[in-house]
Amino acid sequence: MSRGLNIADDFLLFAIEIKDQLEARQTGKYKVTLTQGVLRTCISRAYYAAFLYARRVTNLERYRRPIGIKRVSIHNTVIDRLKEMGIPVADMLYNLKKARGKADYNIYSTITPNKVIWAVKVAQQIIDFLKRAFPNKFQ
Amino acid sequence: MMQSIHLLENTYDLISRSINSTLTDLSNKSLINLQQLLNPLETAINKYSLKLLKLYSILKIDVKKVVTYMAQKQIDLKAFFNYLIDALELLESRNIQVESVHVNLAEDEEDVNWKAIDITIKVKSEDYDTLISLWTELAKMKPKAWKSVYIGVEPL
Repeated sequence: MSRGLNIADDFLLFAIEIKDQLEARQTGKYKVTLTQGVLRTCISRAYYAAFLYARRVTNLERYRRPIGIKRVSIHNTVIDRLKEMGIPVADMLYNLKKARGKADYNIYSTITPNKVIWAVKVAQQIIDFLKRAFPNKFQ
Repeated sequence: MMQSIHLLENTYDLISRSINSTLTDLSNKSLINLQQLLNPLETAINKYSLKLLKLYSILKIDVKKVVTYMAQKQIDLKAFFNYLIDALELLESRNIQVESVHVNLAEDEEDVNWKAIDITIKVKSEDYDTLISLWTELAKMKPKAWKSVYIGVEPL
């Protein structure tokens, strides 16, 4: 477990468990009722797990909004910083953030199991990449 | 309309370059073989026009917003379309069926000064591991100067 990132790891573990249950649908190995609420929560936790890792890599854990500037998003700041650092998973984090926005706010659409499986795999890819590229950040 | 004009300009440029190169090549030869002259031209026209037509048929773009923002950020429109064509070629070379390409200006209500060009390629595939690997390649293929251009691959 990476120091200080146990919450991110918990989020990812939750998301992976839901994904695994979705993938095992045919064998009927369900442990929880997979409602829209659970599927949406899964996408959201997958994003936050990846975001927390990215925030560590970009040295923005102690980021505070500049005084006098009311509307700046730490989420965009982290993604833009990743991009400036030339890290290719910046594009994945941006798209995962979009998926999380839809999952949390767009309540008139249906989130399919495949969207959840995809989002969790993307989150895992981002985290695996960051761990490999910046091992000293996660000791 | 603007996107059609730019696409046509792009096609015209590519074909003109091909003609120039063929004529230069021809001027260095003493014997003219008509078939040798026609083959590369025909190939060039088919290759580029088909690629552009394919892109045009699946492209969904918010032209006014995107083009205005690209001009502000000095993102070359031809280079941008060439990147999209290269992206399609890469995906198709791995037998990934591309359903549509969406290009929008992304804005954030909670971050008023933040904007970005958002490219989303929707594909028909459940081979998620391959898609993630291709997505990484597509992100790396993007010119480094395009700081505010994000690409996404989204299985349907």
